[in-house]
Amino acid sequence: MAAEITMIVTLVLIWLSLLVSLTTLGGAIHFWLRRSQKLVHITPLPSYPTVTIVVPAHNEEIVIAQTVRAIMNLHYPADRVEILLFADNCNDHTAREMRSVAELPQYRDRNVRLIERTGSGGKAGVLNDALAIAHGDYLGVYDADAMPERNALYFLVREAIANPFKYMAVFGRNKTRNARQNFLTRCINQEIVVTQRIQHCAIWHMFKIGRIPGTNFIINTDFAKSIGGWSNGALTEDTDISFKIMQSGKLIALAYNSEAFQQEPERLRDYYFQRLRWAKGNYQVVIHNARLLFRPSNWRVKLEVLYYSATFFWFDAAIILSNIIFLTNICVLIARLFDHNLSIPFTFGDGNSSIMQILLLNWMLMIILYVLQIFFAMSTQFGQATTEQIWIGLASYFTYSQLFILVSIHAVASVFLDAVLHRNGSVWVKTKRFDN
Amino acid sequence: MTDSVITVFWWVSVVITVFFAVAVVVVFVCLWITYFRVERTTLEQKRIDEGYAADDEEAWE
Repeated sequence: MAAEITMIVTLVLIWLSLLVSLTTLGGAIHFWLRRSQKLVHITPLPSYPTVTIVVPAHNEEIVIAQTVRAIMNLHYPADRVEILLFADNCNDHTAREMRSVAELPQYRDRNVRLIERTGSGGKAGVLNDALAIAHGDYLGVYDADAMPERNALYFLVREAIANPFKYMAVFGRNKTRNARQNFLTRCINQEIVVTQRIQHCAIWHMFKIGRIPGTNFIINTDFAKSIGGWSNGALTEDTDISFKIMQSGKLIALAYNSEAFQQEPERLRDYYFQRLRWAKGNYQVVIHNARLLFRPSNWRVKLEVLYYSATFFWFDAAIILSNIIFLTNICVLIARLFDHNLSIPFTFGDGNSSIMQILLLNWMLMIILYVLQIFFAMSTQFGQATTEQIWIGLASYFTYSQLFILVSIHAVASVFLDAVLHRNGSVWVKTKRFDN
Repeated sequence: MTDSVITVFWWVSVVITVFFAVAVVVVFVCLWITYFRVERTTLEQKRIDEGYAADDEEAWE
């Protein structure tokens, strides 16, 4: 009986998670059906607020020059832009690379400051330092590997000034610039496109909820100061400040036309540790904000906590249980080759075959929906919806997606041990960059 | 576990499976509509952007 209850609970949890996913997909479909015929016109803005662009860079000599050049070439009045380049605790030639671009003849009259920082706090520390010295009405952030497209900042500002009293931050999207490097980067590209073209668009469209993605966003400088800036040392400072903004009742708007190219990990090890940091950071933020579910707080924060819980807790728990059931039955089936008296532990008794047939069909449909979701996200981007993406999507279901289970288990164990052993769990593992 | 619980679970599974099947068809149709619209709009956008490129550069100077 316990086995049957476990199977039913697992399936119900998976179905509930899928219901959340399907709701999100439905929102994204509605969003894109309405926007897929809209032409974009770059017209002069009614006003051009000043923007301080911050580039936090820690040992980024490989990619920083391209990023600085892309920022210098942004399609925004040059006299309205202040650029703060932070070489944060670098022991390579990041500062030299930054200087080499900033001193090019065509950029000599630009308002650029290069700061060789030695303080603590990681990226959040850099952003807080920048907040203290920024002169702009808005603070814009581009990671060292994020190359914005020419109109990226224009679109962010255009959205911000559309409702300046409500939109305290605006975020764009990030595209994978090394998507075609290998199978891993192809899978990451699909994941990024799905996250940004489906999840971000849907939750903005349906609930006016935005998530600061860590790069390619602007935030109102005075507002950022009023909420105390970023939490120093946070593993996912972007998720953390997103919750702070929503808790204040203000909005993080989506400018879906604002795009930047970022570099993704090309090796499994780099990918694993980057995602481990993200998962740990998100667990920390969700645990920290879980109390808000039961206290008077902004409804968007409650919804976000529930959404993150769905992704990182109950869906994970269901998948792990489901895998345990599957592997246990497989092991017993193999053992039965040697001992015919063994009985399979997880079955539904007499009604087993009819339930298993319907569940097999159910699982096949889930896989088809998974691939369709990826392909839908790809179809919202010119030239990305190719047959190759279908095969990659299908292969990623059985390979790349399963890695998330390992990352989640590792992250939960790590967060738990950090709490029990009172150790500092906010240690950054730097993502390796590649020269491509 | 009683047979009635298993029967209820079987029916729930059938309903959810039918729901997924309908969702697959709906998503598939919407996907193709979006795909064709995005391809057409992007090509049109490119033509417009090329036409405006020179004037646009001057406006930013």
